[in-house]
Amino acid sequence: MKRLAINKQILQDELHVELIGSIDEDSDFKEVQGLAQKSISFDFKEVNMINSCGIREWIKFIESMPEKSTITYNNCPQIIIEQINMVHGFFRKGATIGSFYAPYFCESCQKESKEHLKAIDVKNRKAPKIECPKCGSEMDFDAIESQYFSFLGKV
Amino acid sequence: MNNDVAVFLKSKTVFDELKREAEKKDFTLHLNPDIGKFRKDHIVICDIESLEKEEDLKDIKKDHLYVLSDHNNEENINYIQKYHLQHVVGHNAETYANELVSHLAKSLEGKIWGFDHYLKEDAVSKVISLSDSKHTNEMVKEALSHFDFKDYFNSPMEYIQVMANELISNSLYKGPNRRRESQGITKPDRKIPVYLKGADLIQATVAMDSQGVALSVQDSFGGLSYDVLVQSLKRSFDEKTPLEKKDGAGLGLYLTFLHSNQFIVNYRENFRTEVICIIERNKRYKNYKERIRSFHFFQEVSGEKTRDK
Repeated sequence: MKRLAINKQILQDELHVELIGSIDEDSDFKEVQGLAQKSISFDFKEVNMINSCGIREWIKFIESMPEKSTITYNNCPQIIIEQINMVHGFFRKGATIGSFYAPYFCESCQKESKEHLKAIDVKNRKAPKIECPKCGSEMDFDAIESQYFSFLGKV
Repeated sequence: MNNDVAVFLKSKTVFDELKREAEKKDFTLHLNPDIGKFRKDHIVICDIESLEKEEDLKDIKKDHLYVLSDHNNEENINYIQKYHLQHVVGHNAETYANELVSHLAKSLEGKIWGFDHYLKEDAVSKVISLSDSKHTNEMVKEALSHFDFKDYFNSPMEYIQVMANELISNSLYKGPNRRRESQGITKPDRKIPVYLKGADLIQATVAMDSQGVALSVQDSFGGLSYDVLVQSLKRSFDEKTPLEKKDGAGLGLYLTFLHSNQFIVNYRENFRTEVICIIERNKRYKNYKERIRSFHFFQEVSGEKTRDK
């Protein structure tokens, strides 16, 4: 399993952090700890696994980030959305979720796909309608809306 | 124990379905019998509502009591703790009758170890033996690459990887802790690699048949008692936060329980712990999430001869 790699990019008052690999007991956030840009965004797209010790390391790290910074979680895969929904503190109070992935299912093609959604496109915790890229039929949202979108209540 | 099973359920349809399944394994089900006529070593199936209502059901030996539940996972953990339940079956599972009867058969036979009661003869399996914490994730990933997940939703492999990681780490770090403590050695941090000695191997097995995929992680420490397990799940459901302690974050069993459709612990104190997690074959993530998690705890008591599969 790939150890967590961190790519950071600083543009004046903005810090963009890309997380790649597995968040676990060996994850080290030192590289971005103590940075205090006004706006900090985390990109989780390439995170492929997170375990319980990784959750703890992440919570410790995110709690150490400056309160004044505006924090955004972007491109959250399903495994990250599940942690946000299941574990208190994974999502820092006052932070926002920019975008995330959600499971959809096409009955005609019998295929599941992970669709990239913007949080602002989810109204009243109802999944937006999405057509199957292959056959054009409307796909079913393939999770329990009230559960999967419960993170929106934390924003 | 014999093959007569007392059943206390509101629904006759559910009873009939269970009866059909039970007959295949020679169990005789009796609906709402006079509980007094049933000796204490009989197996009883009931729903949560009957359990709450009927005082006599609370006296049934807990390893003989099978509870069907329509309640959510968090409520079920509360019931498990309140009534010391060892068997709770998620009632909305498509195969709940089969699951229940498979576990009844396991109880009756007394052979608690291994997959045999859960998988069909067509099952394919892959075994990994581990003695240290290096490369465990890679080994699990390699084992999983031998299976075809085309009949499943997209993510069971991710879940099995997390479950294997949590259970193997628990065995490696928590398993030998009592011995370490007695020798005055401090509990190792999960960042520090550990190596087991001698016969203390951990065995992880992944298996798949036409009904589901199963993971078993077995150690030779026997440290996951019923109380430890239920307290850990209860704390995690209540607090939903990691703990600040060296040998784990205290959320591993919670994540493993929530990622499984059936969560089974086989245990013999100071001898062996086996955790089996089953994900049932299913194309839809939504069905997987909606399925109420089943919980089973089997204990072999010392003095009994160990019967392997």
